[in-house]
Amino acid sequence: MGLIKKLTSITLLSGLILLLSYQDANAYLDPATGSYIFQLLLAALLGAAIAVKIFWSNVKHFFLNLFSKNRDAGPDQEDDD
Amino acid sequence: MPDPTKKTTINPGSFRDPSGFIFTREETVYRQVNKSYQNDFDLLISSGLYQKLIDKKLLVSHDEVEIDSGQSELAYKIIRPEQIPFISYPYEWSFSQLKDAALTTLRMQGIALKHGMSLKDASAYNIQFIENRPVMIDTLSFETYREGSPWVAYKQFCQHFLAPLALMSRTDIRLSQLLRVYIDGIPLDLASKLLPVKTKFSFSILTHIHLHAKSQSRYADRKIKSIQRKMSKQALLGIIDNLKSIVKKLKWKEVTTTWGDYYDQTNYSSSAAGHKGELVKAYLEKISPANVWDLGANTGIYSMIAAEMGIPTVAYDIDPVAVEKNYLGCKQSDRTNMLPLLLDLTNPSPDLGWENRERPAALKRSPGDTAMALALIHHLAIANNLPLPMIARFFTGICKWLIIEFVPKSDSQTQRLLGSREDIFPNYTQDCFETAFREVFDFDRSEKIRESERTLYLMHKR
Repeated sequence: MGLIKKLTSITLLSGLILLLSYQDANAYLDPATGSYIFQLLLAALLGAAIAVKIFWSNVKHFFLNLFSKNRDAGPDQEDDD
Repeated sequence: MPDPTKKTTINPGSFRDPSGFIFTREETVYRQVNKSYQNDFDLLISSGLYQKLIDKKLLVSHDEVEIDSGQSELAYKIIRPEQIPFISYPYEWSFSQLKDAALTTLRMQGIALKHGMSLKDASAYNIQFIENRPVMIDTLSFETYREGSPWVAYKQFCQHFLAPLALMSRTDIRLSQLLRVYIDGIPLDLASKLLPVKTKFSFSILTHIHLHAKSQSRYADRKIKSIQRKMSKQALLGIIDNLKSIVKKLKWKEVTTTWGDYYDQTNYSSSAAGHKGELVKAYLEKISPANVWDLGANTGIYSMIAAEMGIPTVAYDIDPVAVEKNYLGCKQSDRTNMLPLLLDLTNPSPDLGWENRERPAALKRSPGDTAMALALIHHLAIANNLPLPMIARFFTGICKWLIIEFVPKSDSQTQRLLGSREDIFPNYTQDCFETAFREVFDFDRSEKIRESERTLYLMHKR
């Protein structure tokens, strides 16, 4: 977990540097621009995080299904939408 | 079939979205779907998203109808949504009500993405409580998802839900009232300033609030090159998943407030409380009201009597802790007839928004049939210096029937209120109370509550 947290921090820091390095000035955008750009930066980080989460969830359920009779149980009952 | 000569009134709060609008006719609420929203509306139905959300009880259902909205040239369809029994707003919700509304929004966004659509708004005002469950009422909030697009409602979600929840959880539960000031949600720079420094060590709060706010201020007045970057659906799901996990983690820290443990501190015996309950029930049975507003409901002990009789009941209280306990209690026991809401009767939610007509005041929203004011009058008259005739007049404006408890000055609870102040209330007597209320109400019943000095009245407006 420690390693993941460190990696997260480093990636986040890189994101921040990227955020602060936007300097081009060509087109005016409304005040929501900051939110928009921020979301794009966050996307890379959290996209990777969910990929890892789904991978571990699949691994966990592979083994759970192997040893359990309840093969229909999904990874997250509440979110089986 | 509605009468074509009847008047159509466009809802004054329904102007932000060009996809359609809400209008009322013969006290029924309708929604016009404009032609500009036709493709999205068709996709909502054909993709199966509408049915899925209805099955999950996340979206209000509707029927298509054919009536004139007054702007038919723009109309693709007119729908009649399931009618909402009582409209409430986020500044009247407890912590868990806002949290459940936030999770409903995120859950819907997750389902929408699986059906090739995305929420274009994440406004807390799009959620209403039906049978004590948060339900999306804006059928026109879904748009076609375009691969590579970020979530347009991300900022709004942070302002309407995440910021107030974080502030209520990590700073002070009373900060939900900032939503009353900021109609489009709490500005993130303000939330960032008000949150304790230690929240910067929470990855999700650091990113979605503190850094998000910094990014907003950095680009607020800056000209930048048009943005070419795209984000994958996986990344979008990552953001939704992270928001969901932080919202789930945010907890309300129970604090002791004046009212949260009121029933542990009351001065009457269980026999008196039982008798009071019996009287409330008998009075309600006599009048069979269409709805009940319990004012000063606390955790809803007496509102429950009305709710259990099948009467739609709004349980108002000034204390966020009491409202929270009431909501959680209703949820746990699956009580669907009661809506606990936060309201300071001495300063109720006012008319807000554009022209002061966007979000109507609490007391104007729906006519109350019966009001209950149990153990309330001494707080209004003594703690708030309100003369009895003014209190009587107030009740004539909100109800037809009134169940009201008179708490005399000799009662130890009234004595507590007088404990730290001079008694400037020579007119606070049962005789004066009756005289003031007889001016505007006819009395139907009055009974002494056993083993107490209090009296419970049933009266109706003249």
